[in-house]
Amino acid sequence: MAFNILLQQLLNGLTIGVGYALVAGGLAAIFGIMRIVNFAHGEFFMIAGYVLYYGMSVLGLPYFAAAALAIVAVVAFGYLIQRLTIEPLMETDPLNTLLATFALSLFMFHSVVVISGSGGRTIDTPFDGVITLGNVILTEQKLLVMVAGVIFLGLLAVFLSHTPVGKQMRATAENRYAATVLGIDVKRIDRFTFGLGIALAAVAGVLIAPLTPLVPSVGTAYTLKAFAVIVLGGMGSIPGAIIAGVGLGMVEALTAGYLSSAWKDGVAFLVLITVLLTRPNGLFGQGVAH
Amino acid sequence: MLSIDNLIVNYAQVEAVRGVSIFVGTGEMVALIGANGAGKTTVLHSVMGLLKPKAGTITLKGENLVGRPSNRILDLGVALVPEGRQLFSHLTVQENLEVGYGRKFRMRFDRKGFQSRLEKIDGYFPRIGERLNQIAGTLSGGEQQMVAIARALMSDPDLLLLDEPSLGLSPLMMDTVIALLTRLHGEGMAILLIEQNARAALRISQRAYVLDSGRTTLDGEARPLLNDPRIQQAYLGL
Repeated sequence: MAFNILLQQLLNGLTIGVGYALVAGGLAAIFGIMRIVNFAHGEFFMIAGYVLYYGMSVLGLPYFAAAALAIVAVVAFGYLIQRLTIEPLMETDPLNTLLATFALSLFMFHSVVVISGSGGRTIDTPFDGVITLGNVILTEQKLLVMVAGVIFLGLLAVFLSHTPVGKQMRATAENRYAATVLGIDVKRIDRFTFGLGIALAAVAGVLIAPLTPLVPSVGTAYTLKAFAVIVLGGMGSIPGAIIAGVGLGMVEALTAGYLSSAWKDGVAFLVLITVLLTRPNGLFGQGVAH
Repeated sequence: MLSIDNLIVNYAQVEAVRGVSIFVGTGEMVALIGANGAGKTTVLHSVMGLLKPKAGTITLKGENLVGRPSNRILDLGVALVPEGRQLFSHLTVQENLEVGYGRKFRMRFDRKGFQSRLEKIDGYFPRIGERLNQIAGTLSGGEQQMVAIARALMSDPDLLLLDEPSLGLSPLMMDTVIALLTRLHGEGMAILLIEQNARAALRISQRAYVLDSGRTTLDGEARPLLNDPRIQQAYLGL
């Protein structure tokens, strides 16, 4: 019985953790390569959820079609934002991009409140069944989050380690000057990175939004959690963000299961503080040049 | 090959380079010597498109380089080995070389072409072939410098710019670097070399320019400069 409870909590933790890993992996890529602190990151997650909701309820699209529409729409919107607001500020004081993404976060949040209201929306997907394995219960949507999340994270890892663009991204993240000297078009890499980071947040959004009532503030909550994850994993480290994201999800689920759900954020941040006390650069951090 | 005419480069309000003119002929090795802060690196960075000159012209084989992005300049046949190696230390040696392969890696990876270029490079650096899967940051300082030069050579440049390649190397390793540059020059590659070891640079180069506070103070055949009392006093410690 005790083992079943543990397994149940671990599966819950994996679902939450895969979501964190997707959002934080994108945030880590954007910080690692562009050196931008993207305060609006979680809002792209939230907007993907809303596009999914309207795609299904207003346009009558099936779940996967609406999810694809949401990802494409959010990436297109993110690309526009990057070209119009972030790229022109890249060569200026880093504080400018930080303020710009903070402003974007407020703009996106309040735009959704004006358009859709602040009340919760529920998204019904075809994956509303329940799978029972002994005493362990798993909803189909949670299984989808885990399977799709792991596939996307695996594809990301293969992309970064095996493709020319992925290698150029890693090279640019490590040494922007050398990358430029060797002819890498770092502006193009920046645009691609921002799009990829936003796409990961949108994927997380369309997978996770159906699990809970969708509210505009979910974006801010995910931004904060994703920042905790990338600090824990090591600023700018994508593998660090993925491992820390899954780890943090597990810690939260185990705390909620064995202690109380009221304690889950507290324990998660306690883990964060403990790791930082022993490893100030995070689990996989290399330190960041100022 | 490379013609720099009356180059003026500013950093904010400070003039780092004040009217420098440098010429590197086809297959010629030219040294650029001078104290720290004389403007040597600024000249190389301007050629590579990393800095925008305030005035002056830079042409390669008659083509204007000013205002072009670095990747276009690299495609035209210029490669820079930056000061301090600047390897991608978390990437493997092979990945460093792939990035150095230039346009054919960035646009559509020509794997066959890469392999044949790698074989050619292997002739210059016999030990690189054994280290392809090693993380570049775990190599010794000398090996890292060799990978940095090999990485620049991957794009098959006509003109190689080197910024202090012997910095921090052991005397033995320095001799290896000097021998390599002599060999590349012997095979017809044009080289513009910044080197703190002025004696070594003047010995292997055909001509040299001496920069001081952003201006050319001396230039001419390298051998006579080696015996010039002003050079001996200022840069050779004699």
